Amino acid sequence: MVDFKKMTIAEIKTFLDRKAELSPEEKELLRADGRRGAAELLKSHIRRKEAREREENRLRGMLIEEELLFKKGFRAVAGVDEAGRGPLAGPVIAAAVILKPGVLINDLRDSKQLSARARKIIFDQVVLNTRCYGIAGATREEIDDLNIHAASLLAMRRALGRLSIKPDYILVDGFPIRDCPFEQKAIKGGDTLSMSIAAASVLAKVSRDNMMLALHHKYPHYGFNRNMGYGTAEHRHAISRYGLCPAHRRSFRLV
Amino acid sequence: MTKKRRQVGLAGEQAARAYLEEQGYEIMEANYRCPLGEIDIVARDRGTIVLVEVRTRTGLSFGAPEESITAEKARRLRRLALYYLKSFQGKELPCRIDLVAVMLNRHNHALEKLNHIRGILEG
Repeated sequence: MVDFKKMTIAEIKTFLDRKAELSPEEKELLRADGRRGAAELLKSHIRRKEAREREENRLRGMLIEEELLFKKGFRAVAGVDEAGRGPLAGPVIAAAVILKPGVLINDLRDSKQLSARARKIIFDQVVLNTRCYGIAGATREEIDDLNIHAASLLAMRRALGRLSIKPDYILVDGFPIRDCPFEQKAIKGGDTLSMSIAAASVLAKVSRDNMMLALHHKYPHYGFNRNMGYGTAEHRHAISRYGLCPAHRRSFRLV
Repeated sequence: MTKKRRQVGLAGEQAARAYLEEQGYEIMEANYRCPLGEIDIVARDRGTIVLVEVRTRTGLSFGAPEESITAEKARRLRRLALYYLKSFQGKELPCRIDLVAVMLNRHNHALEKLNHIRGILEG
């Protein structure tokens, strides 16, 4: 048994940081310690633990659709999402992910709610926790030929085609995928409701951002490294000054 | 159970389902049967599985619908919930039990009042 009385507050802090959870006796000891620092450490320890539990609960809630499908006997459930419907330039990128069953990926949420840095960290976590994944896109030309909606669906079908394990069910964000050979369910707001779709959204978003960085080096006038092709004021201003580059979607209204 | 009573129950469940869908719930299963009994509706409220008990009444002579949950019924609901959640291969998913109390017109079964109580039976 640890003796908090003999430890300095700094020592107790190190002890708590290393420990995921205190036993009831340890909590009691800290509560009875009397020093203000000890009480505060206990308080923050409990707060952290509660936050951890809330996060875990949130993540478990994102597995309901998947678990329901497992229960019905489906084995390889893929989440699909796309990034880059809205921008004025660049491709639309889609990802498909079959997660290992039951994994909880910490901090995973819809890619729009994550900072670029957090997305990169979670990208790696997602890749490590998949049975397989596929990333694919539709080019700027295809977007102009087809329209953005059809091109997004094309990108998603391609991403699904790149999965090394054939899915037996797919969960897709928003709209159902036309001409898709798999059983599927479209979930409105699926990137916040399903772990598989959220995982796919992160893979798609990070991959697309990387492609936009490459396009930025090719066409440096538009700030693609910052706006990722979206119609920011800076981007629109650059278009009016330098005109369109080959990466710009001709079918989009630019002003 | 008389035919009339069953019809009342069905109309009540229908009203409850329509109401929940309107509230953005997704109905996952209706009348889920298992050896321990029946769950009227299983729905998903964003990240929570909601087991819904529907109580239907026509007229107040036997009390308000939400008053018809006895301690025994509550115990049964809790057992049912645990049984249902176990069917997810032991995964712990966020879950709660709701009550939807439906009051129907005695004659034409039209919806007169609907009361939704979330999270009866905490813990």
